[in-house]
Amino acid sequence: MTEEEVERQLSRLFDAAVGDPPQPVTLGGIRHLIVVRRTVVAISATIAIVLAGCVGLVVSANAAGPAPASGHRQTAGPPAHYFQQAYGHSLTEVIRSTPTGAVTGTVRCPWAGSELVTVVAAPGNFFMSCVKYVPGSQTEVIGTRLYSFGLTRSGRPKGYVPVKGGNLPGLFPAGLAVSEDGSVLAANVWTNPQGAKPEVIVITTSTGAHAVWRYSGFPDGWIFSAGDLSLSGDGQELAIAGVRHCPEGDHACHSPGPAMYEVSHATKGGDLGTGRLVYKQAQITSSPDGQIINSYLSPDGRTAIATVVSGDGRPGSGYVSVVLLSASTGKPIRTLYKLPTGKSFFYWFVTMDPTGKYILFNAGPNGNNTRNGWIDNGKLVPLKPAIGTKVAYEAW
Amino acid sequence: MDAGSSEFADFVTARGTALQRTAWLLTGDWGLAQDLVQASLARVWPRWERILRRDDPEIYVRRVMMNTWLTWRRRRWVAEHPSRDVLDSPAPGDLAAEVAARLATHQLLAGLTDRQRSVVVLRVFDDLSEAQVAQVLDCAVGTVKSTLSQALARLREDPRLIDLMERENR
Repeated sequence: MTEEEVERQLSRLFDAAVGDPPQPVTLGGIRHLIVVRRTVVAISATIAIVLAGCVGLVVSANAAGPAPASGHRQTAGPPAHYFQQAYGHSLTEVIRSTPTGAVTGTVRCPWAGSELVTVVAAPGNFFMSCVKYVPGSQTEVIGTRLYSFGLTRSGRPKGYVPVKGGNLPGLFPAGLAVSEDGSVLAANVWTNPQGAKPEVIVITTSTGAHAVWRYSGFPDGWIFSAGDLSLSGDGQELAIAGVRHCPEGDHACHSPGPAMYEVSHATKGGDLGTGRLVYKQAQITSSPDGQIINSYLSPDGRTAIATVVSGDGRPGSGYVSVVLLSASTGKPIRTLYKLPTGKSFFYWFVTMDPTGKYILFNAGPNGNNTRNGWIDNGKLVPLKPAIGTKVAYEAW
Repeated sequence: MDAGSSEFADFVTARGTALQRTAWLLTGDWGLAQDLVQASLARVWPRWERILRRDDPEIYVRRVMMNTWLTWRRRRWVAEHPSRDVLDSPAPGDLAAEVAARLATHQLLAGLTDRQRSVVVLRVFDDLSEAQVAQVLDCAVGTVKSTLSQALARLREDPRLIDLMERENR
């Protein structure tokens, strides 16, 4: 191959690969940068003068360019951006700025014809599952593909990168979890959206290696319907929250309700029946008074959170609360937040950030009145915009 | 808006997309590409009238863009991990395969030094002459020639380029 041939081929390849930018450069965006730079120069100069005056040191003004392109990275406080799935004229999937609520980017499944099912976050990265259905069907799936994406400094999704080992033909992703370091993904997969033969696939993202956790039932004969998944920070502990059922069906006995199990060596796979019981519902609440819905293990594996909902129609019986509990004893430590909801309740979701510190919450007395925010010292800090009733899911 | 601003606006409208495409080949990411172009244009806007009088404005903007990108690279804001893995063949109309092809192209360029990548993108994609590339990079024409030659020699040996070419020819 001559140099000219390489050049010609490269030119063709570049033309084919580049395509059109998703958003044009605008004068408004450029003007904003100029204003920001001037402000930075002014603030830096002021700091320099103040410091020089106080301690006799000369501090040079630093008017450096923009900060690193890591919209999700942060040192303190809640994440700078969050993912939101909301109903409007149609379902929208966007990234919003936490402080302002402004839409900073749109999230799209790159697999043509697929639909986004869920998004989970690891520091600096989001992971999402995209499912494609058999044309004309919402029950038969062609398969699922998993992608990751980071955010630019301004909160726009960078390019979507296929997750190694994230091609799951014939499977529906009922749930997804990622370890805090992003090295391990766990997907609770079914053969269709209604269930059937569920199992948890654990993927090592650096190699694409799969490990499978199957349900063969527990030694006491109970079977388990898995729901929420969570992984420890290094991805080696996998927690599965779900509901215990009689093997003969719920008509045959009274289900003891939700519980959480934990297995070690998540990336090796095995039988979920060998898992350690983290808690069972009776340790948190009694069934007539409350029911556990969502539940997650913290990244350090020492605590878990459980969302308890209640409301049987009697005035004052309704509430939605988030309880922190010990992962070693299963006993409640304290209630992180409790929202009284009158005689009933309406629940959308509770999700946790990758560090386990910032919990997103959306629930209320009814579907026309839900509160959307994050839990901080027993209070709910409202998320902007205040459109809780339209929000189906959020993650950060 | 004064005359300079009006001409600047016309330039952004006319050349903004082309600059973003170049920036995408440098950064491998549309978000970063937009940030890079906006940051570069923000630097030149206050001096626009002077630039119009003295220089070819596009060459000047590209020079600022390259310098800004090289500065970002020195600060290591973008952590790239070139891979030797060759991706699967694409299926017609498969967006995921297009994504994979873009990723592969980016990995190919990531195997070059920053200077080599700049020369390849300006010369091969933007179709600038060697003299214009030298102007943008503020170096001698001979340096452009030798850098391009080294870069092409390196790419010629890269199995990913051979694979991409085979895909193109399929």
